[in-house]
Amino acid sequence: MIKKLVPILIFLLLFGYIAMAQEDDLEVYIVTNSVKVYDKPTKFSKVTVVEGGSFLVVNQYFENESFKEISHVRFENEEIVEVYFKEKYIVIDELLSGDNLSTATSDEISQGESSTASTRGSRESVSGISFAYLDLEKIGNIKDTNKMETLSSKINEEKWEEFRKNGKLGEFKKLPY
Amino acid sequence: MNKKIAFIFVFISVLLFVANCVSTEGTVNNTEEIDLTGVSDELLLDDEYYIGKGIAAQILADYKIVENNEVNEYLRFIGATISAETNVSGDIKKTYSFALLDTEEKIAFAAPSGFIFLSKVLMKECLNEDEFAGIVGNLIGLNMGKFAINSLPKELKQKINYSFDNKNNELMEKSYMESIDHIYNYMKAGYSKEAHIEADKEALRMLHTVGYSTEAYKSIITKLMNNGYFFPESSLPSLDERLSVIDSAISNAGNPYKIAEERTKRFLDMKSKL
Repeated sequence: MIKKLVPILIFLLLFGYIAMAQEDDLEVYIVTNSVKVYDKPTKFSKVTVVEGGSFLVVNQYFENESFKEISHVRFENEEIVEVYFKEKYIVIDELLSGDNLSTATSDEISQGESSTASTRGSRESVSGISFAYLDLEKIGNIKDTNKMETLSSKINEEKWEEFRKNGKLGEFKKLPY
Repeated sequence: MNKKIAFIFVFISVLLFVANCVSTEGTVNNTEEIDLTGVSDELLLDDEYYIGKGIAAQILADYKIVENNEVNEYLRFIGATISAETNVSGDIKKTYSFALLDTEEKIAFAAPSGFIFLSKVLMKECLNEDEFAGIVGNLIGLNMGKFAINSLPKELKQKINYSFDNKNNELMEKSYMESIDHIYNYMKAGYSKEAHIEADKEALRMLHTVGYSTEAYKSIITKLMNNGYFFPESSLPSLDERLSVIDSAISNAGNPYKIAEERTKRFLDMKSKL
């Protein structure tokens, strides 16, 4: 009986070791079907995005089996700007546009230093959380339009004034934000 | 000899299995067994913003936005008109974003940090712009009171602060995710009695200030509640309770504005595009 179990145990043992070794291997940089294969650290040491209702961590590598869903990563000056998934499109927006990043170095961001952070950036500089959703399938060409534009709080103030005037609504008032 | 080898393998396997279990358990405990004594439960606008944005992302994962820029812009204009009367600060993160969801479900969300969503079926129920503005005003009112963010358990808020103070990214992500789930479920369940009462008052104040008919607000809330909208659960205010608050607020606001034909005309034009 025990003799029969030996090969199974050997297999389990080896499998366990391999699984444990892979878990510790943090040097994987893979972008499937990608324009590029990413093989160096990015400025964003930790970016959390949402994909399919669950969090996917992009941490100098794609630390999740969902990396297979990534179809394209767009770079600017060797930094990840956009991550394209087969169905979703994630914009890494605030890390690029945040005031705190204008002077923050990648090291400061990765170590969570807040010395360059304004009040607004006090959490950003530590967490690096930034996510937005677009539906790649629907919009076809990402440059043309997107859902976040629809969600944007920005409005054309001239058209807005016209809207209020035509609708006999109150005096034009600037938004408080 | 074979028995000895087999025994060694079995022994090592059991050891590895136990070690793995202990290791996994230890990780969980490290996260759970944190001392939150003295940790603040006040969240920053940053937290509200990221949680709100996370919820917006979840909503957009669950629902499509109506693909008509004209209609969405129209909604934004109404939303901007009303939200200009909110008591928000000038913080860039406290902004309002609006989107019409392409679903027949009777749903609406006012997520933290001003992410407002409502289903197109709600727009279809309205007879004029003033009624539609009433729904938008109600959602802005729900948002203003921060009821969603305040519904978070104290411990969860403390964990968020703790995670930042101690640069614990794992805990931070976990706490944010829990917060997003909690608030999304809170909104789906219909907020709270207090939230609706306060939202009615604030909505009517803002609507009257910008020139919308407060009577239209009353009529759309009545219609929606009679048709099973706005979560008619027993833990939430009944129509009579809300009407009592609404009547009082209308009376306090002063002479109600009339529904302008121009507004109704453009509303019906937009509604026909759905």
